[in-house]
Amino acid sequence: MSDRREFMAEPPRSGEHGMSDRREFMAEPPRSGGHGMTDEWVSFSRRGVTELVHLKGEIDLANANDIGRAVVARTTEASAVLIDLTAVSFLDSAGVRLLDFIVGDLDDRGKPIRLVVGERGAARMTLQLCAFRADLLATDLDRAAAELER
Amino acid sequence: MSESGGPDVTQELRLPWDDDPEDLYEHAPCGYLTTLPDGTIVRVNETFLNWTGYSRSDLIGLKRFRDLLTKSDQIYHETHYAPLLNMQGEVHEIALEVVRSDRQAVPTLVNSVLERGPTGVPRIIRTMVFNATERRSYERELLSARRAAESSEQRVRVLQRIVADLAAAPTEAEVAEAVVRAPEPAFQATSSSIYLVDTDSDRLIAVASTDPTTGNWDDMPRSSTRAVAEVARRGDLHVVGTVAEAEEHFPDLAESMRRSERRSVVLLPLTTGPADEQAGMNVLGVLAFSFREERVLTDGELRVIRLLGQQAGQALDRARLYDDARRREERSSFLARTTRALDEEHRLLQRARRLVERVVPEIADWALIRLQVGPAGLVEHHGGPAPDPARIEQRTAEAVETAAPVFATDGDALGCTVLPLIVRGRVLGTLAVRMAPDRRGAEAERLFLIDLADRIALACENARLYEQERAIARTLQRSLLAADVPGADPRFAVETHYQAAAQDMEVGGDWYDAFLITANKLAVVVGDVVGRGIEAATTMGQLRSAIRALASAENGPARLLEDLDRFCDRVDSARMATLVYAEIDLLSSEVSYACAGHLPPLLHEPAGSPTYLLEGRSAPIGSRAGDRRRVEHRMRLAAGSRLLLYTDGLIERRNRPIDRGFETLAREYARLRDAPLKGLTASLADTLVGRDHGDDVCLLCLTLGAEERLERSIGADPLQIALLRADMRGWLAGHGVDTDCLNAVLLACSEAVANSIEHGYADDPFGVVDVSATISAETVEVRVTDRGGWRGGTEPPTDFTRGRGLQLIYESMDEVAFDRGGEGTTVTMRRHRTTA
Repeated sequence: MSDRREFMAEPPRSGEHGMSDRREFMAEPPRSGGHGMTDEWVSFSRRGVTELVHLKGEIDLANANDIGRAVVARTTEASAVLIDLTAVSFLDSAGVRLLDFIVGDLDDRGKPIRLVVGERGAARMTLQLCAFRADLLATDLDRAAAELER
Repeated sequence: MSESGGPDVTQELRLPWDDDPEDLYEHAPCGYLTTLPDGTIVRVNETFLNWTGYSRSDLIGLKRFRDLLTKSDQIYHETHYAPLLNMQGEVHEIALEVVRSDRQAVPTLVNSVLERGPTGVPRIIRTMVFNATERRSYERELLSARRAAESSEQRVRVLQRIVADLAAAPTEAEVAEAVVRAPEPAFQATSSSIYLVDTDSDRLIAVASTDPTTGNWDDMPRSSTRAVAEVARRGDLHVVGTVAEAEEHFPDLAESMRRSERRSVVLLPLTTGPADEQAGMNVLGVLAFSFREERVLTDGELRVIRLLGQQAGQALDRARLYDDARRREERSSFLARTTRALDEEHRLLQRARRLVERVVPEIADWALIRLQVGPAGLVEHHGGPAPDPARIEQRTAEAVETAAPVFATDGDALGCTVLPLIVRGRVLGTLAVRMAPDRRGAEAERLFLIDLADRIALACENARLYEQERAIARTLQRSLLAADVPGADPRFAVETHYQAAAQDMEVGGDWYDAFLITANKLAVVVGDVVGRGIEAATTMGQLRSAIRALASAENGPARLLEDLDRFCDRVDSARMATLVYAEIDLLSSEVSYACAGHLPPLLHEPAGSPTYLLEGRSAPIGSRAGDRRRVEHRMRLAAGSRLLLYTDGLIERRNRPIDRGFETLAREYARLRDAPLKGLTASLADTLVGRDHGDDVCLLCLTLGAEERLERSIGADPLQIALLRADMRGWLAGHGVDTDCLNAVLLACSEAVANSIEHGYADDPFGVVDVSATISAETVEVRVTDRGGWRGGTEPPTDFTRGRGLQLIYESMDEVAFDRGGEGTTVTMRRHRTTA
């Protein structure tokens, strides 16, 4: 338990949430040594110009901020982003907020993004319940990547 | 009356005793005087004139009797003699000294009678004078004899007191102090000084003086030509009566006598052994005393002086033995205490640290230990100021190269001794110490330091080996405990925790294990091997493997213990290991367990309080004295039961009875009943043992089946939500809830708890969120309660982010109800199970 505490983000404070997404993920650069802190949940790879973000495990209020910082640091300059959520076993609204921010950022820059989720599972359920746009979701990583490269 | 004094031939012949009265008067054996009342001599006999040398004409009518007396007796005559005679008419045996014509005083005894006339008027005084010269000299002799006796008595008294002082003086310094005080009262010496022989430095040390300004009062080699050294070598009494005598034999003494105005000096060796045999005699010091005048010592005084020399010598000898014994005792006690103190520390760095802290300040004011271990070596030092680094480096190099101590010597600028620490012929390092100058040089001190270095070397080598072994044992144990515990089975969950003893303890032999014997039979075990270190770790590994190999679907716990008893015949180190072993039938929820000398498992069923399982007990593995008839106990566990296995480190404390330990554990276990299983064992260890504990602790907690009703309380900490989710996931799976429903309930529950933490307890880090869940064939109901003051709304979702959370709750559950009372908020959520 104590080693998990190290990964804990500052709990977001009420009242800031609505307008604070950008600030929370962007204001600070990833903390020094921050790359190691979120390795349990995030890894990255590249396919052509597409930045691949692999998430796994449970993403919730306790770790979403740290994961968000790590991801944004890699995607903010990317031409295309593919977020692989197939190994995510739990996703809560804090995770949704993180994804929402990244999608918004890429949309604003006119860059494509896809979220790969399984046919079933916790991540798909949460995203569907939040009514994420169907064009964002994919089930097959390779096909989604190929689409982005076009 | 004839004036011629010759016999009167005109008288008729008489018998010889028929004295002529006139002749009798003139030649009586005493003097006769007749005086007027004013003392004027009017008649005197021949005898008196003979004694005093006066002629009759010198006296008659010219002198008064008192004129013939000494000055002091004239006063006495006026104040005593005359008044007494006047009052009493006579005086007897008055001692008066008569001054002869040649000015010599003659002691006399005087009787006088005053004759009065018919009217009572004094007429004449008749005085009879006895010569008392003889008697006086006798008295004088008597007096001087008494004085001599008195002075001898005083001397004896002084010496007796000194001897008593000597007997009571426990140290050399106190003996010296007592001896140096003797000559002044005993012999009226002007001053005295004492020198003691120091055999180690071969010098005479000036230790005490009643007047250090006199003489040449300082240390000297025993070979010195000075008088004191000469006397110490010869071992006999020297009386130097005059400066001239000193000049002849000891020029240095003559010089200092002149300078300090002394006329006589006595140099007395302080000796042990027979006084008359030069050979067996041992000189321990010299007492020198001197006189301002030329002093002749009587034979009696010389005898007493010699006696003083022997008495003082013996006292010194005894005190030296005492001093030696005490120092020896101090040194051996220091060695013993140091060895004991080092034994309390097992680790190398701590031992080295403790060591220098013991050496300083007890025997040295600075100490440094250097050990050649590891790439950088190890250096610990204490005290100060540190000596010159270059010099100490050089001396250290010398000690290492020669593998022999380099001792500090007098006049040594560094003043440090460096001792090599040698074990099995190898120089492990060095110990450098700076001791007080008076502790340098002595042979006994050197032997002590060598002994100390030997012990330190051994202690450091043992600690080094210990470190090595410890590292291996730790690695071995970690690898064995890290083996995977079965999970991902909704029928049970296992949580384990191992906490090593506080950093300086050796690895213990505690272990836990959990494995599936068959698809439907789980085995759990917690045990404790006797001993510590690498052997315990190895044995633990062997026992663990043996249990895995021996467990079978058919055998059961009692048979397994019997097999382990036989195993001990081959692996003796496993003997007396204790363990608790349980097999759980995952289909029937039946548990069967056996305790081999181990602490009883603690069971908490969903209803009721924790109970210790006291059945199925027998002796430790391989015990020869204990009851080895192996028994087991079988019982059915209610779904949701938690079974805790643990080692004694969890509850045993030196300062409390074990009953209290059991009570405390049961209470804490009950308190954590609603805590998620994940983290439960760590939390128990944390609460019961804390960080600074002296023993290893091993815990294994097994949850069996899914309780009817899930009750959990978690702290207002986002990290706790994941722990709660783990329990709830297991519980839902245990009740056969389908995946979609399970994920939906987990999501809603997580969001509700997150809401409570973020809004209810925004300002209260110690808040608690209670979660309870019930299940029926149709629905799952989850209730999340906090006691915080909410800010922001619940319904409809106005806050964008939390709003998304609330939206998720509404979307994923079929019924949602918020109850915001004064005490806090309760969210009740219900979802229909899609398939029953």
